[in-house]
Amino acid sequence: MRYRAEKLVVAHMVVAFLSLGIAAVLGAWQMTVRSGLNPPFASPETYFASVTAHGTIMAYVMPTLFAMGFGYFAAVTSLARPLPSMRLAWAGFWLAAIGIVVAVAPIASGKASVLYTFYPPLIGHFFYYLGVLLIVVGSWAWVALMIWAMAQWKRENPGEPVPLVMFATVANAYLWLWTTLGVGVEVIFQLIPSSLGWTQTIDVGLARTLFAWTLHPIVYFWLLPAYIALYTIAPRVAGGRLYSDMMARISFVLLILFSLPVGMHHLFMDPEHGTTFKFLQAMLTGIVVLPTLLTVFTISASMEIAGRLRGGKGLFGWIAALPWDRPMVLASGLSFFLLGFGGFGGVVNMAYGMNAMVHNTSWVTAHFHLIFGGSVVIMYYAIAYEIWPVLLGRQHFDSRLLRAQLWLWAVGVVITTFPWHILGLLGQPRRVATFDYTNPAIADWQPWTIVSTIGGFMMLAAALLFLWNLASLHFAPKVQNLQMNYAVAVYPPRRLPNALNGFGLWNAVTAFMMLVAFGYPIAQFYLMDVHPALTHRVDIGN
Amino acid sequence: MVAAAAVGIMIAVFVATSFAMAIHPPSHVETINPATLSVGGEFVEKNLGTQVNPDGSVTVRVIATQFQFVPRCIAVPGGRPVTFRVTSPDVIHGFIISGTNANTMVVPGYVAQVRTVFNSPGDHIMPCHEYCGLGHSEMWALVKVFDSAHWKPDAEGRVSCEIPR
Amino acid sequence: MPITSSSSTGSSDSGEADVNNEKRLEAVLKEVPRGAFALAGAAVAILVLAYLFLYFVVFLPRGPIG
Repeated sequence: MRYRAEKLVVAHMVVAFLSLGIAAVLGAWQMTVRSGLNPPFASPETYFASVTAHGTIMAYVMPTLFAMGFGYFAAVTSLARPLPSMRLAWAGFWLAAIGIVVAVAPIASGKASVLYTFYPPLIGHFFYYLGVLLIVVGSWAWVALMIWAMAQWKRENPGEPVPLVMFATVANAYLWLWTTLGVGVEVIFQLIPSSLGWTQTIDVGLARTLFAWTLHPIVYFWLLPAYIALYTIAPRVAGGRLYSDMMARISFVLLILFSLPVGMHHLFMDPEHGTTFKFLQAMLTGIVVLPTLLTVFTISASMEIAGRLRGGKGLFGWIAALPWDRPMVLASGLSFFLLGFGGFGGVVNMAYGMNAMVHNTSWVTAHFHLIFGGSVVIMYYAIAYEIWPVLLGRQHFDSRLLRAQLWLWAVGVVITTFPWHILGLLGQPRRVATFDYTNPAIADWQPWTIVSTIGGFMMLAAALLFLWNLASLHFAPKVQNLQMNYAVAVYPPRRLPNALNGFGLWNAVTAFMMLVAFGYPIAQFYLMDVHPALTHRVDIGN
Repeated sequence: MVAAAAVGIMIAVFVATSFAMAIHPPSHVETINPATLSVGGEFVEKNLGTQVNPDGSVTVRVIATQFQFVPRCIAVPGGRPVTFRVTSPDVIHGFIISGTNANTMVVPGYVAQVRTVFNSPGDHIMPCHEYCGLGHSEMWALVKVFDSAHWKPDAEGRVSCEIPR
Repeated sequence: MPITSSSSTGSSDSGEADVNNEKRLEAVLKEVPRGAFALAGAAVAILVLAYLFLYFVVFLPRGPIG
């Protein structure tokens, strides 16, 4: 690769994927505890430390490092120029890496069993919050570099359309910046002072609301790299064209606008907010379904072009004609299949009153493991399989193990998450370490939980096979001049309106929407008579 | 477009039932001082549990603590609206009453109020469903639904039950 | 810009092959997006039906919430 960012990208990916492997081991162990199978080392202390570690890695470490690495890769390959500052990029990486170690240490010693949502008044050790903060600050270096790189390129190419992969990557960077404001304020102004003992009380409603600000758009930060691959890589690998570059850009803009002001749908059951804002944010959540469906349509049409070019005929014949032997195509198909079910869970969660049926049951756990673990992470695997050869200058010529890994993962996700949905409808609560299955009221939960555990071990096996596949590329034959090529649109844009080539307007609209959606819900804590709760320091046994 | 129609249908359904059947998330905002719950006011221990009010409505007062609900056995009548009022002196809890749509978070500093109707007699488990510390797994209550023949409030309108050992 | 176009069978440099590719693409574009509508439409229809089923058959019978 000509712009000397290989080491940087590989460093981010290695940290992301190794941590995924560790978190997968923890996840599988947790499932054996919950299934009544009495594994070794099981106790509430170890279980909840494990859940904290698993969640912190899977939510804050793995996807962040992956998005950063993939973003750097997209920037140098699509803009054909080095990053504006390698120093800043490495500084961001090391800050995040140090943050990971600083956060994990107290978790491992049982001093931060607060779970990755860290809802106060439960307060963990200061280092846990400091570590998470360092990871976020490190990622802001990435945000700055993405914005800077696009700005530099536009100055040197006035009037030219920014390559779609870069436009979408910068969209994700802005999305992340907005996303981190909520949890950033909560961690800096509420949680860290509490963890240092500077305050003995905390405004719980405010903390939950600030976290909810972050909690929805963060999942779109995780999702967007997968969508970027579906729009800009999968159509080319399948041998087709991107059906519409403009619809792609519109989708990414809509995803930013409607993934941010909707976090209150995580607070539907909360007593610190009333109907008005719960209802408003429920409606806004419904609107985010639109760019999702737009994406499903555009990618389907792009794949349809590929399938028909390969001779597929009829309404559905193009599907079978696609080159399913290519890992990126296979992953895209599996991702879409899982997205259908994950999306179904999502619209149930959002359906206002119906949320009461599923809130904080295993249905919720099922939903996000399906959509994130399923649709999104499978695309992370496929992206890694596409870019690793370019980064290493080597190529697998036998993709069977890659495809086997993708299938194993997808089937594992289904076996893990589908029973969980049923358990949720049966009323199984979340975040519980052990169940007394001898109680006849819940005895019928155990078989489903065991089936789900089998799926969890399949996912673990697939995660380890993934690491093996990447590692084995180091022994594959060297290939010269591997280039990264992105999909071409049916009608490549020659000129674009500023609104689809930059983000000034959209940041302004986002600011307005956040003010409307969260302005009063946050301000109310300063206007009404709140009674802060006492902090409970789990690191000093409180 | 088709997408808008699909979203429109799903939203219309929950909006319509929200208005027609008053089905919506609990949305009552009321603050309370978590530090003084047991000292005075509505949630002192002798006031907890099920109370039939003079106008016939039924209110159930519960506090959620680390790591039990008080009272742990909750008696409710079938076929009539029951209003739960719940708060916590310590950390965030939450519960769902299995087999029903009664679900709420319990946040210290606020009184959570949720109304439902129990359609059939029997026992429903009521687990705590938000992580509240290392004892979270053990935190369960039991809701016993009485049909009208067995619903016997005492002189003060209170009804209680015992969890069978 | 480093974005190079490539087709599934590997790009060839002869002008004739490019013209053929263009012709095939044009022919295909007459059909697209019928298949995408069919696939996406079927998926969305199933999703909406499943949602309505869950709402009316499972959720509402469990009683009111408010």
